[in-house]
Amino acid sequence: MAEAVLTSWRFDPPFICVLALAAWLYFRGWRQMHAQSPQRYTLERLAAYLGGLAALFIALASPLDAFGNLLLEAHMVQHLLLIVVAPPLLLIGQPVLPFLRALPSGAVRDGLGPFLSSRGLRRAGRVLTNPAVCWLAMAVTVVFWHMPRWYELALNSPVWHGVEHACFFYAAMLFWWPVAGVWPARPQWSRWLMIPYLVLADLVNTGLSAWLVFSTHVVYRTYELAPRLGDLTALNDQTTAGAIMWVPGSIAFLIPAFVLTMQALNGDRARPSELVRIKPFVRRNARRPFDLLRVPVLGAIVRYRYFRRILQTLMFALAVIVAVDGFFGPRIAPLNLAGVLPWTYWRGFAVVALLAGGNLFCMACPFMLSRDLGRRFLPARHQWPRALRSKWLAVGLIVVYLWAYEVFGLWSSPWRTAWIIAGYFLTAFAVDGFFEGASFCKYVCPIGQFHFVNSLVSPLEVKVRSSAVCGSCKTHDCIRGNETQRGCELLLFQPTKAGNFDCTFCLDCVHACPQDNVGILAAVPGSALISARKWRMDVSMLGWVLVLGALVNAAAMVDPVMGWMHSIQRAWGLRSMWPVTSAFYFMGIGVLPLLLAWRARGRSFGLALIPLGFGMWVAHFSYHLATGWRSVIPVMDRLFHLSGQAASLTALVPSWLTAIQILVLDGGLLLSLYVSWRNAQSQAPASKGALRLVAPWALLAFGIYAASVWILFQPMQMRGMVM
Amino acid sequence: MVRWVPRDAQTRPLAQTRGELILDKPDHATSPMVKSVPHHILGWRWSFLPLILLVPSLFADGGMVLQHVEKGPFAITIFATPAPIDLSVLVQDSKTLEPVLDADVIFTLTKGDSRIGVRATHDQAQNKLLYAVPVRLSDPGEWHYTVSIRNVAVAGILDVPAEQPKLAAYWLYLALPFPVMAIFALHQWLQRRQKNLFQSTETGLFAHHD
Repeated sequence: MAEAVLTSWRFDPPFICVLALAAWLYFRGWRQMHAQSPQRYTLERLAAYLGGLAALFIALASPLDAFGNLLLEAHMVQHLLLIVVAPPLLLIGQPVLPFLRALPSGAVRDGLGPFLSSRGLRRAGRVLTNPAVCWLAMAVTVVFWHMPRWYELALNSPVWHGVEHACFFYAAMLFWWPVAGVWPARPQWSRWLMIPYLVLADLVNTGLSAWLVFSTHVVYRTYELAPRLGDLTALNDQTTAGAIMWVPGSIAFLIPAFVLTMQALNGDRARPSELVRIKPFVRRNARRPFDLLRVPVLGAIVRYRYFRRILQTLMFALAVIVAVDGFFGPRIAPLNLAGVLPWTYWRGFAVVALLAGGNLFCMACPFMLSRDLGRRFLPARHQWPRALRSKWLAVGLIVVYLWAYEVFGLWSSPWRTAWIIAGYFLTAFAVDGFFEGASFCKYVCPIGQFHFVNSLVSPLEVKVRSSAVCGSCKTHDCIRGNETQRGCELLLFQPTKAGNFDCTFCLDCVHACPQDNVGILAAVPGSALISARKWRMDVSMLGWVLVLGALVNAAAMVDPVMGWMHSIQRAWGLRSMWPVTSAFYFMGIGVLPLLLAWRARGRSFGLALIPLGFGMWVAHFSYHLATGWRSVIPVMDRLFHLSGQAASLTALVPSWLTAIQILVLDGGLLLSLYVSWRNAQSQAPASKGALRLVAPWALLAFGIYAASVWILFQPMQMRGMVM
Repeated sequence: MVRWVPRDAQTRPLAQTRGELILDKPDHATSPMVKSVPHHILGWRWSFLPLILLVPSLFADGGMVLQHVEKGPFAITIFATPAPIDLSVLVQDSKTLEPVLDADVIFTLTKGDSRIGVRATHDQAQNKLLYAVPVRLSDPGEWHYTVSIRNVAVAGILDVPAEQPKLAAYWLYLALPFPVMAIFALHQWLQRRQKNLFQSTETGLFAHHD
């Protein structure tokens, strides 16, 4: 039994992630503060803060939580941890400055700055942390939630239980704020007054615990009805819980009161060492942004000259295997690699890579070898036709690809999928065999365009480390190349490059730069979309096609939309669905994007909605990835005659998936609105003018968001799966 | 509202918490076209701002007591949480009330032609004294259940509510952009106000010098 009790822990990844993030941020800031003011930011403070986080973890993830609804004493210990252990420890850690230090300086200055320097908010904060308010908040909260009616409510509802815990924790944070003397807030009352403050709080605690201890009946009915574990009766359980609240609870109030009394009696003044003035919050040496190429081990691997070639070779081999299976394997998609790998796995991993890193697909592009072969065996001397030096051809190919995917059911036809892969190899071979540079990537490849556009929202970017170094550069090897390394094939000049658009993450510029001044640096997602200029019409069209394509592509596989299309087909007396589907695609990703890109304002704001569109692509593809992550098992069963696990496969839709999908969409919407707002501000600096400019695009963004949510809530086909 | 109707014992409501949701065997699971109902809508009930003030949600097995019965050598307490439905069982020795931890607990749920058999285990429970299993019942209404523990069987009726509409289930996630937008609007307003204050101070200085 003891083992069962001790193993009743809960490992909730989001909760653990938040605790770990808090610990990491605090430690990062504490390290700097400790270097600047070791007398104030001592090791004890670090230990106290981490101890506070540990207390939170124990309160909410340990067996105390699991047994809280069976034993009042376990529940009481949990509450004490939330009220008298975790909050004071966290506040003793003096977390305000370490957190400010840990955040990027830009985020503090531009993001938090207006709030921190607002007189009104500071006044509100001062009222909130007034000791009288803090004391009352704590007393009212504790008494209120111990009243049987509300305690029962919390016990019988997980939502209210969460609210109860939040109330305890936040009220306790307020209560301990003046006692801990959180720096740099100025104390509002004399330290002397903290003694009656604590003693009075203990009186409230004593009253409540005495009520529990001396009560002759079980106060909370839930515990009366709970199955008893061993000999412990419900009344004894209640008495023990009351004693726990009384003794350790009182100690938690009285020890600080005693310490303060001793300090006051000793006439304790701040020692000179504590009066060390902390330097103003100015970073003299701006921290270098995160650079993937400077990460130990991983950076060296990515920088390795043949790293990209190895990735490409692996992807090439995989593509060949998929194509061969597509041509010669079974025609049933869920049993064929060509029906599973590209449509379930590759698309899902590609968008996740874009979200978490950057354009990693182009980095590992399997068609690179085909392009190199073309350049070796064909002349590759011609210039790409001037008339085609735009994104129009690629836009057309994307539209055709999305249309063909639906009309020809590419996901369900391994044979057609194999032909697409083979066609891709041949086109890459032919285009780069005849034309100079990376014409295929820049002007033709629809997959590349998808990645170019959506990588504008990625957190990593290939860019120069120091613009000063580029200022003195005369050779411009990053674009011209040198004897050992070619320059950028897509003609992106690093010093003026902004964003990931047209960047294949080939790292040619990294290897070519003699100053070692190009890295894969952290970038603010979407920052390259903020521009006062109008985008080129073809680029804008590309953006609109991908934004609306996300909607249309997902909508075509949900029940109601398919139902409407079928009813139209019947109403028109059509034998086939393809005219209806074609009309749907023609309107959705042909006419509508063209109308939007045609307008001057549409060109200014078109790319601003890319984060939202990307959010929908991620939500859509992650659905297929999450629901079909085991769909390779039947193919492996077929290829390697395994144990026939496919028979036991069921269609699993993870319970967390919809929440994650909506959160991704939320992020996309907010980023789109932010970019739109910044673009509007750059065109009309006055608030009213900017609001007028942004309003229609914000409305459109909300419309797309609402449509996306509606689509996600509909039953969606699980394509390419045997289940 | 969930109504639990035990068949052969008194109802004893207990703490109501929540459990994990999975899809079960294909014979009772809904169509593959149908996505799962939300597992819990307030799963991440912690605050981002500031990070030091986070409080996660409570999570535990159990739920309301559906049935408590002493049968054979066991004292059996069956708990259930409503949407999503999580069934859990505490099996105790009826004499000593010591938890029995090595039982094989099978739930059988039937409604009309639908029949589901699931095994409750410690692995699926947070409280390892309990045997728990999350089930998904696509059809609302009264389901008959039987819990088999070794040679002992306990039966009862479970009233399953209709699925919550998705908009209601995910309102918190859908509402998330609005407070962020409000904070951003406040940020912009404060920034502009401070900028204007700074500019008016500058103008005043120049006016003074002029």
